[in-house]
Amino acid sequence: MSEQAVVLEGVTKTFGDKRAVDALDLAIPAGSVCGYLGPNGAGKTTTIRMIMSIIYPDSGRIEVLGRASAIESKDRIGYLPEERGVYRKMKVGDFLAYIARLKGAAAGAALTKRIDGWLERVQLADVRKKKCEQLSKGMQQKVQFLATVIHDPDLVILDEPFSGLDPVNARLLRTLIDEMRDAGKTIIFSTHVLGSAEQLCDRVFMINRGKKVLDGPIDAIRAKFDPKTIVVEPADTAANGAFSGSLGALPGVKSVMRLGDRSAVYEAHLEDGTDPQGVIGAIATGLPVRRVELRKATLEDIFVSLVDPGDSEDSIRAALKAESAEPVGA
Amino acid sequence: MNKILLTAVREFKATALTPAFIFGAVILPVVIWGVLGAAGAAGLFSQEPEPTKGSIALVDPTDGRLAEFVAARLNPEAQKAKLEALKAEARQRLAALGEMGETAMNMAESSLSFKPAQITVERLTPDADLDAARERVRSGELLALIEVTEETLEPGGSLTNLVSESAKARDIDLIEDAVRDSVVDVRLESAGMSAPLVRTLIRRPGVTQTTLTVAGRETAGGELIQRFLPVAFLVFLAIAIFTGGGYLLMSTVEEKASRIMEVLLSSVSPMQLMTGKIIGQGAVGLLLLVIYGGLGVFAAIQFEVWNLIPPAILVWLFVYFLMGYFIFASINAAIGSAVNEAREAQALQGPILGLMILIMYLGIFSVMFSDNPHSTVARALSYFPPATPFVMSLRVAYINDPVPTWELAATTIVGIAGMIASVWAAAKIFRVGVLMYGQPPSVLGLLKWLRYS
Repeated sequence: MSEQAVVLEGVTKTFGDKRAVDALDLAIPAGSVCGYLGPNGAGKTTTIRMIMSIIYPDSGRIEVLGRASAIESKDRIGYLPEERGVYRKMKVGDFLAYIARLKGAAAGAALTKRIDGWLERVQLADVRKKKCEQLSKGMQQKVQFLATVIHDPDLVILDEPFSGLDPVNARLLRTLIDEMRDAGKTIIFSTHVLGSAEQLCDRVFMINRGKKVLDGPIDAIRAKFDPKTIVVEPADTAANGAFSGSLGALPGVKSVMRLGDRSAVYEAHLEDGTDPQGVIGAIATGLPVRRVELRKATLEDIFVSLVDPGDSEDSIRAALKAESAEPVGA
Repeated sequence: MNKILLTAVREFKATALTPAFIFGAVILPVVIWGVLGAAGAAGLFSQEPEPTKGSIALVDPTDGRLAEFVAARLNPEAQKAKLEALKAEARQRLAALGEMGETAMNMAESSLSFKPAQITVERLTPDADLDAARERVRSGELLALIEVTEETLEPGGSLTNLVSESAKARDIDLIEDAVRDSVVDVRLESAGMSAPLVRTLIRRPGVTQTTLTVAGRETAGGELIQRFLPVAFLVFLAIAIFTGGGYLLMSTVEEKASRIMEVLLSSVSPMQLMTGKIIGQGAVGLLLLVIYGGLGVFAAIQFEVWNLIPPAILVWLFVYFLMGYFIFASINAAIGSAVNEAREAQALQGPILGLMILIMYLGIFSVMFSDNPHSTVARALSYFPPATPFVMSLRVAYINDPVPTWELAATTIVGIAGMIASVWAAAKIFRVGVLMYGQPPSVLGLLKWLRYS
């Protein structure tokens, strides 16, 4: 396998007057778990569809698993689209076998055994002969996921895999993604569930209005986004007003916020350019505290800091309304 | 190719191996034929009511000759003799159809169990009390009161018949026929002629028609085949094309509605998917063509007219099925891909299908109404691909008036070009449509999608 599972160079896609993806460069190392973030309407699904060769870029180059396009390596890719479903009238086993065969798997005992193994793995061993329409929504979601991985792909692309999952299935999915990572698969998933992305990803990239605004290993990104918040828990939880005032008076502290009405924990937000270590030292020596820590930047902090409110789905949808008859990747 | 085949096989199985299809397309027709056949064999359709017993009153202006003639014609033996004469004439006519006609005649005879009515005639003179007779009709005592006047006996004269509410239509027909024929007999006798002799002399001679085939065999039934074959061709073709195309539309809409499209598109290209679906549903249409066409062939063999159908036109039937099916199926695939649910599909399909059917009917009528496979409109529409398969299937079925070879070749080339163009256009629309959710486009919007890459 090539060192890079997916490479995009200057990829641009326009629908009517709307530039959905704008000169996007991307390199996703093989064997990594990569989160693809961005507000609704940012161009995530369009990018994924171009990677899958379901639609084609107006310009730029895409390389997938060392081949010039996904068409040449479709059988080595597993794809769970955002808009996903099953053949309602087909039996679960037949449906999975059909999808696997479309992906080049040979029919026979080996495939049946693999299907049975996966169904057992997701606690659906007894539904193989049931029609898909007889399954609950949660069960269908599991079957959809199995259809993505049943042919043992090297690259797995999941578009909003956590959308609509209950906490139990979400946890199961995280476990399965971890297992695939351990097996050396490359996994790309777009998501709004930033907590899951934070737990699972080696690296993330983010686009906004079709342009890349973030790309790299998750630790490097956290380091890049300077921590600007110090979490402080006073020793005497009763002296709240005085403590808050003293904390706010320290040099370099821009504002102080209590974490909830009944909490005794405070967040001190620092002014730009302030050395957090100096403030931590000042707190530790000057105030009676039980705990002081520099908060790590979360993906949510980074996401919110990079996206304007105007980039949200509503404003983008409104802009696109005039072109509703044209295909626009969400 | 393997993926196209996989898609086609799934499509075929999902449609043809369902209980609904097997019941609707295979079992139901067989059951209907079976039930009709069994009921016919059991004589359920030929159960005669009990023969009527009753009287009529006849106002007779002659010296009783008319009443005598009428009574003689209503005599049960005379009724039987009349039926035998009709049968003889029918047999003579059906003889022209050869084996087939004989079979039809035997079937008809076996289902007829004739029981003559017993009707007596009461003669009234013109000066009799007609009001009393009318009352007897009203009360049902008399089946009818027939007034024949002196004028009736003149050429061009007419008579009146007052019938009872309870009288059966077939008895009234029998009575009126007897009186009218008897009036003619009286007229002939008044002119000094023998009525039975005149009636025998004016009976037209029968015709025995035989077709001389190229193979040098003489076969009866050629005229029937000429009339029947074009219609049979058209019906088979329409059933196969519209059923297969209809299933394709529904399966495409279902795949969109169940959000399975994009899952499939990660494995197959839109062109592969659409081609697989078209082939799969085409196989369903072909299966129907084989089932119903097979029944037709079986009937043709049974009636010994099979040798009148040149094998070449069966090949043409297959060619026109493929042509018509691919054009119609492409349109349906494009429509199915563009909508979210069946109702939207019907709304979008309406104008397109309406236009196609209009053109198709124009073509069909241009051949069938004029009974001329070479009418100007028919020839022109043969070069319009949506109409080509239907019009040409009719035209080639006129086996005694064949379409020139150059015209067959030219229309086939145009038809195939139209077929390729429609598949190409449908693939462009399909590719855009399958990923599109939300408000479905108009027909014009659909055409706009042709511009997208």
